Amino acid sequence: MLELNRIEAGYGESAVLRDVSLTIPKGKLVCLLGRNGVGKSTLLKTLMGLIKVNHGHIDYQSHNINDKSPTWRSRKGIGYIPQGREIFSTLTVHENLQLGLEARQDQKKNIEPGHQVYDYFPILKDMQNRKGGDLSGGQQQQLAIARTLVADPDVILLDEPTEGIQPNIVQDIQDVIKDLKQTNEKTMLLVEQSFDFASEVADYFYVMDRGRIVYEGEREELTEENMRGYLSI
Amino acid sequence: MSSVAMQIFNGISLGSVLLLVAMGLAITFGLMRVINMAHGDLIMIGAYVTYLMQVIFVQYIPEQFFDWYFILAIPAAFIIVAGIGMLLEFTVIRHLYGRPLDSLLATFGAGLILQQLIRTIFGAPNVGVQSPSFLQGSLEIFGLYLPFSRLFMIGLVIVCLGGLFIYLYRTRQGRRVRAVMQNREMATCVGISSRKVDSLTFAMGAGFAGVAGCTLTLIGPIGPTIGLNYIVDAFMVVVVGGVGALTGTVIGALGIGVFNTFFEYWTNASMGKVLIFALIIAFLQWRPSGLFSMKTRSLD
Repeated sequence: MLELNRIEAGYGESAVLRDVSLTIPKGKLVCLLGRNGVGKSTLLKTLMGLIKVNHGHIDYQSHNINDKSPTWRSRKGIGYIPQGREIFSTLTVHENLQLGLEARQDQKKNIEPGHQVYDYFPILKDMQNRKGGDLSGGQQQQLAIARTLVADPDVILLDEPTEGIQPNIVQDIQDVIKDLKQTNEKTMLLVEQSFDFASEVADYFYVMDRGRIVYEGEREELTEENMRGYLSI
Repeated sequence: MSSVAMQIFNGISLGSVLLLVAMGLAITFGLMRVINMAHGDLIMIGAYVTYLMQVIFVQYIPEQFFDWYFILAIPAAFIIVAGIGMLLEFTVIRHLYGRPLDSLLATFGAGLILQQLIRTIFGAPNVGVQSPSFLQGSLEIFGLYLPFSRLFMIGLVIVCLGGLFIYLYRTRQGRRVRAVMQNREMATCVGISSRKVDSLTFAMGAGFAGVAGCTLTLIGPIGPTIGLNYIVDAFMVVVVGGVGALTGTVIGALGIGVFNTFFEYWTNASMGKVLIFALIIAFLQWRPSGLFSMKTRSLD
């Protein structure tokens, strides 16, 4: 569904990603693993169009989307949940969620009160009139996920959704990811530091090191033994 | 006692002029961070639209409808100047986002072009605009004479502010504007077209400059360089209020208006100006980012 072909990309002259190829098949959850600073977030930003591709091509539903803007990509069904949440902090929780509707093609104007996101994250309903910036880190992460789900994307790109978040919310978020995979059969690319969680949910995985894919395989191959050299376990 | 009340009214009145002049800049400079030196000239265009409307009415419309020219001039000035603003954004400014020094020069140049354009069409001398009859005279309460034109300006600024707040905080487009101004990258990632938002927002800021120009015709004659008199005031109000904070712009304008009037009342016109600038410099030493600075807990 979404495919990177021998991508080279980065900031200005310096390439962060070198010759990266990666495939996200429809309905599958693909995990991207690797230490800090090896280019995982850059890869997601490149997929979203925030970073320009120098070489290679990105194909989405079999079309080259190298030159498409982030606006175009999100409207065509690519949902992005960045690291650090990036919610709109001076807007209310409700307004943040409504901005999620911008990417929809059906001109829907409101989120119905019984929407799935409120089942996933009931706290968002209680806090709808609070400013996004007043929420705790974990609540902001929930809001960022909900904002993307409201758009009903075909592919979801998740950048370390549980990083730096209080443990009780980590569990909630992991449950939501599992549910999205099992019940909704969403296509997802998940950047993860937690080896345990990755080995639990991933259909397929890639390991990155210094801007390259250095290992890939089915879930069964995702064992501590195989990973020892690449991750800090 | 009554003279103090009169000074307060004058202060508010001056504040409302400052606010009208600065409101457009609060959008283009405050929200969009474009150092828009053409703002004064957009105000000037608004004033000339009013003048043009008057000329059209004198020539083609029966005399008893003359007063309507001013009522029509307000939306006309908004729309025409917004159109010019949109053109300016499309041709010049959109290439210069994130380059404040370049945009300063380019908008200054664009302002000179607008001035020369007006000089070519209408000539260099000042032109006068006759106030509509319903704005002549004054209202007498408690022994104070409050000119209708001043009251009208205060009313107009309230209407403009109300409109702007409703637009920004109650409409879908306003929500998009706030999202883009706060986090451009993320806004595009949720599907907002930042190009469209920039274009409309700049046009909106220019439109308010047009309305400001329209009301300046009530104060005195207008000329091609009238914008220069107001550009400093406009930047001053936005900076004192806090860049990016509309509430700050409102309080900043009223504060400067009232203080300025009192300083002038206690001393004289030029000394008053000196004192108000000294006050502003001292204030900015104490609060460099203005009355209201945007600080939130976005990442912790």
